[in-house]
Amino acid sequence: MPVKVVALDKMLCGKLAAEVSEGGKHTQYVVRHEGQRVAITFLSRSYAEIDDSLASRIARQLNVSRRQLQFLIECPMSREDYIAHVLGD
Amino acid sequence: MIPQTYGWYPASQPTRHVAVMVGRAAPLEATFMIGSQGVLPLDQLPAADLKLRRPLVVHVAWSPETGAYVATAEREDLWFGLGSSPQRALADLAEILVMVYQELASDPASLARPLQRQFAALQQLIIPCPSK
Repeated sequence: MPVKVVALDKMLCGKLAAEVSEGGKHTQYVVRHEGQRVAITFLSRSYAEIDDSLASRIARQLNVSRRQLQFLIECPMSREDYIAHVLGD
Repeated sequence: MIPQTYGWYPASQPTRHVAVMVGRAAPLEATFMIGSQGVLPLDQLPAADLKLRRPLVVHVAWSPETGAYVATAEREDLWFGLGSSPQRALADLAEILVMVYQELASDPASLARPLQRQFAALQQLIIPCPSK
């Protein structure tokens, strides 16, 4: 199932409160928690949607499963749940 | 996504010390340099931000859903590049590797465990150029 880049951006900037910086063709997102950098991912500004395979790779960059990434986008998974999952890994 | 074979790239551009294995055929035999502008020609190697410790196999496949080529380093498949051609996808991957390495290397003490592991893996792959 394709994922809209705008939905990923909204989740990263909103729910995960990622720090955003712009590269040449990419937006870089760094998720921090209590001074630690927890995860880094990138989104291309050239594409509106990414396919399921790429969404799975972005999920790996965020240290979650593809299903958990969908939960982050659709709201069942909170930032607190996410941090606990990643740091408890 | 079904990997397709496009042959070696860029066999017709000997000034670039780059060979990207596309598809599922034989592994890459060449090493390449990567920089903030993507993959650099040999005569621009001193300007590279980083270089690779060892050969790196890169797969490029067409993603019909995304409408882009996707370049993935076989042993570093956490990171990938997108582009409208195999060349652009490779350059995109190079830019991503530079960005993520520089971000991680900027303050290794602040990395949580998952990023420590990613940084350690990238350090096995990448050598920062002394001038940078």
